[in-house]
Amino acid sequence: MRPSFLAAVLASAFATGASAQDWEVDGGTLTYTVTHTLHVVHGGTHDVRGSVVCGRTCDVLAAAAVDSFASGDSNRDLHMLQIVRGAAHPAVAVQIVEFPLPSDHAGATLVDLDVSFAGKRHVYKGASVRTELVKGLLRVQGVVPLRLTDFGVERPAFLAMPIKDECPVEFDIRWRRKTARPGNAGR
Amino acid sequence: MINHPRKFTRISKIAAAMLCLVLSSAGLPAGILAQGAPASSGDDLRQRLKDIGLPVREADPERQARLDERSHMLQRHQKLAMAAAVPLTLNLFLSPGERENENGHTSQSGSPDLHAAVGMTGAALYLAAAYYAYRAPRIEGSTRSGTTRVHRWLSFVHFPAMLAAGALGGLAYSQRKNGQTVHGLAQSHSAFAVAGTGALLASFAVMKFDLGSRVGEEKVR
Repeated sequence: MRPSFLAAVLASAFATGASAQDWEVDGGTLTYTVTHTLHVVHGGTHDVRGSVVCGRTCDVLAAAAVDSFASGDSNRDLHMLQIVRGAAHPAVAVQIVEFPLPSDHAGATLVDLDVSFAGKRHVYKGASVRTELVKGLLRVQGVVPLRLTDFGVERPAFLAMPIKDECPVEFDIRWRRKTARPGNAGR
Repeated sequence: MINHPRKFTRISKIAAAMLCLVLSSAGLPAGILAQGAPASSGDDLRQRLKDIGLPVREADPERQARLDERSHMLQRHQKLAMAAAVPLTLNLFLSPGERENENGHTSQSGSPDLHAAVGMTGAALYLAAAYYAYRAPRIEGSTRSGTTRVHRWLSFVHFPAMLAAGALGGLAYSQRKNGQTVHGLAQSHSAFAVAGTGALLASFAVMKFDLGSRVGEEKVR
């Protein structure tokens, strides 16, 4: 075996192992809020998945299936699924690169949220994210200031009145440390 | 010799591999190699979603087409139902009746022809609205919940009431045209019309009051 190839194999074996600083989702909630002249609707999901891969800073990915969101009304959920082209683009994902390393001090930090939704991507710059390390669990909270027009989503109307373009998505996700498992770093 | 391309390539490969090895063995994880890299996109993101075990369906254009058709038909249903509610509600106030005057004689009030015409317009719009609701495709894996369920329950009230009101209205109209006072089952025409229109308006109201959203909040929070 040539030395360069051996070195590359060894390097990749190390590189794909989960580090002690990597995290995976323990539990969490994504909640969207839709505002219409006649009422305000909240819909959400607990089925959140994700990974945090850390080095000098962390690379965060949190995602959920679009059809896992429930607002308490099946017709509205199906209409939401249609409007956001959920059958063609089944996942919503939020990525944060250069997320600061978790520390024992709770605090807020400004990050860029890279959102993939309805087949499009949009980066929300300078969004505030709050982190807290409690009993070994990392809690990350924040709001994606999502606007439907950023993703080419046509605003649905009820009684001829369209909903507001702003559709903020709150996230509250708990992460636990990932156990080292070569070949499964979540990336 | 330094400019020999093959040798230079091999050296750079070895250097890159050694750098990875040194970084990894120093306890710095793979994430550091992605510092400053843009967020994943396209196929890369899809692969990452698979890696984190996200249970998403494969992209399904047929399902999307069914969702589009369903939404399209339900929007028509909504518009036609709102249009139907106007003549049906108006007709409650146009109903012809018999009024007793000061001398104790009865006289007719209102126009049966106008009442019948407005009623038939409302019925046509109502049946068209019902057609679109009935024909909208069902989506596999979905069950009715929240306001939609209440909306559907109310349809079991207003649909038969509207059919009965229409049939009995026709009977009452022919009795009047024959110079008879309205009698028998035809007398209950107005009761069915009021029940049907009331249930129809209630089915609009439940969409406004949005019982389901509160259920959703409890479910999520």
